[in-house]
Amino acid sequence: MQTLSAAVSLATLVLGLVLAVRLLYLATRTRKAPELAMGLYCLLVTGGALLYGIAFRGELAPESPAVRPLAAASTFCIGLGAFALAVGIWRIFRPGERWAGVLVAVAGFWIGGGWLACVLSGRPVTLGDATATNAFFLSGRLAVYAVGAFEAFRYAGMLQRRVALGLADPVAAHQIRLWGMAWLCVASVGLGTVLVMRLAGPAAFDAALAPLVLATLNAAAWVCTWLAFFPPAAYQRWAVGAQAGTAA
Amino acid sequence: MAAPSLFDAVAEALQARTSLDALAARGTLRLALKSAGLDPRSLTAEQMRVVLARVLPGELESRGVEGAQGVCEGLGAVVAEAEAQGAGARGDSPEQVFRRMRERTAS
Repeated sequence: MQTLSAAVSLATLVLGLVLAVRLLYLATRTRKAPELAMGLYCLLVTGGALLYGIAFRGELAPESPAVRPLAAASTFCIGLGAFALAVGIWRIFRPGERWAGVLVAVAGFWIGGGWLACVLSGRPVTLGDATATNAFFLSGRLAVYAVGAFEAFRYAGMLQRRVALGLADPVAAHQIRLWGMAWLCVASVGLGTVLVMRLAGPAAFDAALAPLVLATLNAAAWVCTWLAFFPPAAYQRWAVGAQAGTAA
Repeated sequence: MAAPSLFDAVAEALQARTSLDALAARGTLRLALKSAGLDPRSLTAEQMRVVLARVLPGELESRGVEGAQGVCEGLGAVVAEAEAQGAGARGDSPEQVFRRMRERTAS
């Protein structure tokens, strides 16, 4: 089962990289902030996950001097990725609202302060640390994911009503709902990691079940993100059919 | 002076053409937009036309406004005038962002 969770993790890394490249390439053509922010999110979180895997799941001994900088770099990437997501949520859903920009800045200080507090503790930072500083770091990221999910579901609900009047495209409503589901999955991974560490201890990550569940949730998040941004034609046809079925 | 928003222009005209006071006219229009899944701040002229044709008449009738259909048809001219003055949302909506990603993939 551990081989399966490693395979799922590897597949999600590849998917994350592919998404990052496609979104950043799109951003170079459109020069628009949403695709740039989301491309950076994918790149940073994938890079962070890769560094995390090298630090804690690779061949390095826990006391190796390389572990601490790798752990700090990986959590930095993940925190910066969450900040890029906050910028993306702002630029997609509230581009003209100044208060939303202020909230993004607050999220940046929250996540950055949490990361700094974790790193200043002087030991390798893991995403599952049951410490107050990690709880602060995690809560900043969870807040961003929760706001992303809320905005997506709120807007998808509005689009659903517009679809009934022929004012919106059913596939876009589907894409945005999937995007919201992705953030629920990502939040579950973050929260689940801390809960597993707190309730079962680090040994749970050496067993089969917890890593597989977390890897599956992570994979679900990436698949939802991929389908939300780049839905294949067959998936779009299915989405339109499902929407028509709901409306009927 | 900045042009009034599309919402303001239509709400004012609705008040002028019915027995509703300003608060009731704005509230009724806001409810019609909400039931159509629209936000008054990011409203386009096309969306307002559909609301006037398909949602607002029912809202007005439920408030006892006579000739609701005719009132809404008359408001179409207000939308056209406000549109000509530059009212109505522009720029990227979330829907456009996701559609852009999807269409760039297909191209």
